[in-house]
Amino acid sequence: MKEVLTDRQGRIYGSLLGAAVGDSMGAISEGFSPEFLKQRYNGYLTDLLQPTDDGMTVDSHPGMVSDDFSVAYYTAEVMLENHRMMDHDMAVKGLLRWWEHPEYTVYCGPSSRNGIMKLIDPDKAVSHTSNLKCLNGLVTNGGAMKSGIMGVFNAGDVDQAISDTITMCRITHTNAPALAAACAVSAAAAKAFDNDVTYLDLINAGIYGSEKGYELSASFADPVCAPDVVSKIRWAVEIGLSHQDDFETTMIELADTIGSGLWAYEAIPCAFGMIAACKGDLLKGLYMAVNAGQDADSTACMIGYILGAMHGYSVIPERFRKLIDEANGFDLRKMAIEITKLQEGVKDE
Amino acid sequence: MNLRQNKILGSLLGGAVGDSMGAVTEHTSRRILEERYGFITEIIEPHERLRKHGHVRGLVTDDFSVAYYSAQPMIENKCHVNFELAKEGLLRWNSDPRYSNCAGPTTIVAINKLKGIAPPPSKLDKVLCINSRVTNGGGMKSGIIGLFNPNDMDRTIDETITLCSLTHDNTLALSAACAISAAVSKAFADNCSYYDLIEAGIYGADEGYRRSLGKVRPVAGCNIAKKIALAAQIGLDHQDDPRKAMEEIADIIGCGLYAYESIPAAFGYIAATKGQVMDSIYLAVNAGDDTDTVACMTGFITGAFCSADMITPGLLELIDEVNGFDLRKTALAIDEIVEKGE
Repeated sequence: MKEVLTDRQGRIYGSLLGAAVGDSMGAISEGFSPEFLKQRYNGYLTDLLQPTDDGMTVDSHPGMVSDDFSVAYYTAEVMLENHRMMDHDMAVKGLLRWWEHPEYTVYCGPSSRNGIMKLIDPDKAVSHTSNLKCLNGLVTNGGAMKSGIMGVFNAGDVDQAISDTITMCRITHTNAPALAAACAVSAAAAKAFDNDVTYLDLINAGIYGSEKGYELSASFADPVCAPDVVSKIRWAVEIGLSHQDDFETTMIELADTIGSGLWAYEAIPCAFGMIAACKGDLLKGLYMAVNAGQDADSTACMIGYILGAMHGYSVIPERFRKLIDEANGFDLRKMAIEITKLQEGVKDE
Repeated sequence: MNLRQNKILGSLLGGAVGDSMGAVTEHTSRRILEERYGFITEIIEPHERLRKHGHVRGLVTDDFSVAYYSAQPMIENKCHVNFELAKEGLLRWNSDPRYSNCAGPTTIVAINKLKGIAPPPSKLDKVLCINSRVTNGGGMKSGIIGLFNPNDMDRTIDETITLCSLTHDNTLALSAACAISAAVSKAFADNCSYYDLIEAGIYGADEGYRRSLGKVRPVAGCNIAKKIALAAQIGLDHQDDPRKAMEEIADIIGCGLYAYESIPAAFGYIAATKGQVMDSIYLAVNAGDDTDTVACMTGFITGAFCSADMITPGLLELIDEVNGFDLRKTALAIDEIVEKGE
């Protein structure tokens, strides 16, 4: 018989599962527009279906995650094996462990690829070969897609989550907006473990995280030109709050004006706008991100970390839980228990 | 020159000045620009990296030059654009290495296709929506179409789709291109106000999207018309402090390569400066990021709105000399086609 999960374990499991379900469902809708998706699925996509072959997935099947969740998963695996919290060595080893899995690395974005090339083949790193001062093409959401896991490892400790996020993500994402976006997600995920937390607390934590992210990365970040992540989170939240009772309107308004694309200043603000629009409801939030299209898997994955931690695994349908583990060879429940053990061990040391 | 001729020249020169002024500041953030140059109000000397690429002060880049070359076959044939002339203009432009070396990603793919060079196999081959091609390269050249169709937005929109779908065959890039050309066309209307330019941009974006839907690739990205309205709102809110408008537009709307950033940003600067040609170009240049394109598009619109008389004296001669253009002659030739009517 399975051991009964504690509240903390159930929330960690919820966060991991929420992220994995969001990634997997969003991988089906990634790249398409909301109007197109609505027509194709004759309404909203709310299931882990077989991806179509004209989207972004490669040899995928229902329940399979993409780069978003998998890079965090393998980093967590390395940390658990080594019984260590995040440090530079864990971040590098986690990334390289992930790189051994072509079924997921096929989705690798430009900044993650650049970070990995710097580690294994510097001649292929765009940051080493380009003569541009500002590499604006690297202001992507790939830090934020994986940083939720730092909220999980630092459940309840927002500042440590932010600090560990910078350590984890600066290998691949070396500019301030990408790191600020990553810190927004991990800060909100860490905050979500508090008792009696509200969705407004999560939004405030996200804004705090992004401000801290800019501050902490100022000394080493590469210069770039990009919209401001903090301003855009505030704006997205305002849109979300103004249309809380109208799922379709908020989703379209966020996709049309904030955008939910690859950029750190789109998908992350959009995720917070959706949390506001759905008043923190996990499944609604995931469905909104999935059906908004564009970089749906990243946006939904981030929402999943945050709201999964808030509500725990029980709000996620059981068939999703099974399918995610089966399709990817994961055991997320076990991983959740191991993470709490690592946290308790660290506390005792 | 009569008023219409003067407006056509103003538009050409506004586009060229914006492009050439923004060439030096491109890819750099507004904070770095401010540290390095203060607030730029002239065509500054190119920095070393640009000089190494052969750039000199007053040279335009791909932005204005592709519009200029696109107009040549139309002028020679004394007619409006069609598919063959669009193709001819593009290939002719591509044979001038001074400009084609800075071609954007979407344009390069299209030119290779026209030349029969198959792109290398890519994981995007099977993908329906190639969102990375929602770029501003349609908008950078579409202003020219507005000049052939003064105060005729509907014909402008149709011809913009003909010119730009050759390279930018997706709904959002075309929506953005039509926003720019519709505003240029509207600038020729009697008693046109800068509000009318913004409304024309929104009309062009909506119509460009609607008319291209189903004919070109579907894509996902922000809504051009909605973002134009937002950028204009920011501009209107800060008319007493246009630099504040510029900062907010850079922070919230964005002014990068993508069609849903740079095209709305151009309208934000128009709103902030009440359509004044040089002031609007300065904002586009000092905002950083894809400055040559944003300033070129802004200059196309506000140059037509204000006419050539409002552009800093001496710049026409500089642009003509450095690039080997004769913008006055080009303006008169376009005007002749307009006058002839069809």
